[in-house]
Amino acid sequence: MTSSTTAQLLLTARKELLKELLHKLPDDCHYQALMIANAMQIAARECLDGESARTDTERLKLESFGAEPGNTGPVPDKNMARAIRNGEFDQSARRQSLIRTLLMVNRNALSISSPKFIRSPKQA
Amino acid sequence: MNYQKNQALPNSSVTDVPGAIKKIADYISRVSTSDNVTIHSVRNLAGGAIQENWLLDLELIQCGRARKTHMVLRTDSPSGVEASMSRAQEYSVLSCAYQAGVKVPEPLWFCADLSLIGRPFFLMEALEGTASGKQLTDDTSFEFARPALCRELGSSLARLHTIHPPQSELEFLPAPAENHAKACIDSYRSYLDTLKTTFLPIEWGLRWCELNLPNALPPSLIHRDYRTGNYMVHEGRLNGILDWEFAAWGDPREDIGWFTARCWRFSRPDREAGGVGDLQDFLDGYNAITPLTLSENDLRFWQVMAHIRWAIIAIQQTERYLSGGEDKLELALTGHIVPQLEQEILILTGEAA
Repeated sequence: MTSSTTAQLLLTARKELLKELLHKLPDDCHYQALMIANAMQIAARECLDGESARTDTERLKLESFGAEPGNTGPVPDKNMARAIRNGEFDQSARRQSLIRTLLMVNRNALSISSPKFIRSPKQA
Repeated sequence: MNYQKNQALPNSSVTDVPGAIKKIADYISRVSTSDNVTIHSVRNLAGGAIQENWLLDLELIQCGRARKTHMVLRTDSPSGVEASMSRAQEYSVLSCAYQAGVKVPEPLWFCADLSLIGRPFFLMEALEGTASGKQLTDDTSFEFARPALCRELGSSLARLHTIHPPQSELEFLPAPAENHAKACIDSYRSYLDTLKTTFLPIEWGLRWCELNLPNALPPSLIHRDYRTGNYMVHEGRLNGILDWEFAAWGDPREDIGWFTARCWRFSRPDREAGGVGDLQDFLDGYNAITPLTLSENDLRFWQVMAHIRWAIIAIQQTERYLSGGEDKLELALTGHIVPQLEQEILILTGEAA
């Protein structure tokens, strides 16, 4: 089974749960049923787009944060965290660049977990 | 928010509340000095895995006169999972808030006698209304009442914040930090350091908070979960603030940041006062009780802190799920809100950069 057909399976099962079962369940089970539907939706999105979102995240980090000497991947997150705590991104230009990159990376995460919450800074 | 591990309840001695109706009725009869008390029904209210809330429908006979009433019995869930405060402590906090004039369900009696249901419990007034965040932010039928509701929410919070340490009945609360915000930053970082995963937006948010730390205010009793979803509204009026288990000494502005944070506005993110109304109405209600200078920067700071704190709690809940301690879907899904909270942190700190 490919990740695409796994996603299809999950989405079909979810549709059946919402269309055929939900209205037959007692009211106090609705919240739980909706949580199950949500979990299936997240899992389906992960099957479909998870890999490409992770690849794009790595690319964004590499472009913005660079690589450590001797490595081809981006600076490890633990090292970035240490640099942030040490104040290496306090200066305005570096700070703006950091926030811009983290927002793009965050958009990738939201595209899997809850795409309807993606918004632009202007919507704040 | 640090969860402390409560001592596990000895399961063998725990009795289901419906199975102890007679004992509970006798107890209420004794403490209320009634001639007789009959509990007609008990219903488990939706609450959570940590505590149980039971609605009692009962009849008291006092001096030959019958009176029908409702009460809520609150106790630990039999699983004895993590809780932040014992029921005895929560009862003391609730009593303290009630005496200060905060709109809360009236605390009635605390019972430490384990022979009744095998767990300590307390009884409080049952409140009418709804606490549903979706309903309170969606409902168009009480638009006219929203300004007054926001003022009531503000004034109730201000009354809570008039309680300052020391208070003999709240001696169990940890001593206030010299600077509550700084103590929170240190505590969140310590927690993040225990994790394998790194959360860069939270790291950045904490650094931003460190750089924008406001001057500390004298510590007050703060609720630490004062938000839409944790208060009851009946016919457009505030009926009572619920869930006092996270109360602590701290900076009063933390509660305001939490209440107004976008993550707690449900269907109406445009309404800054918890999704139910305007910030100015809320602040007017607050300032009518006790004056508080709250700059735009202060509010932003505490809203950033609110999103960081909620993200930390969400990560803690996910860890509880992933570590195999609690195999619950709700906990598993909580982790998926972390990116939403990180987005708010980045937007709020980006605007102010």
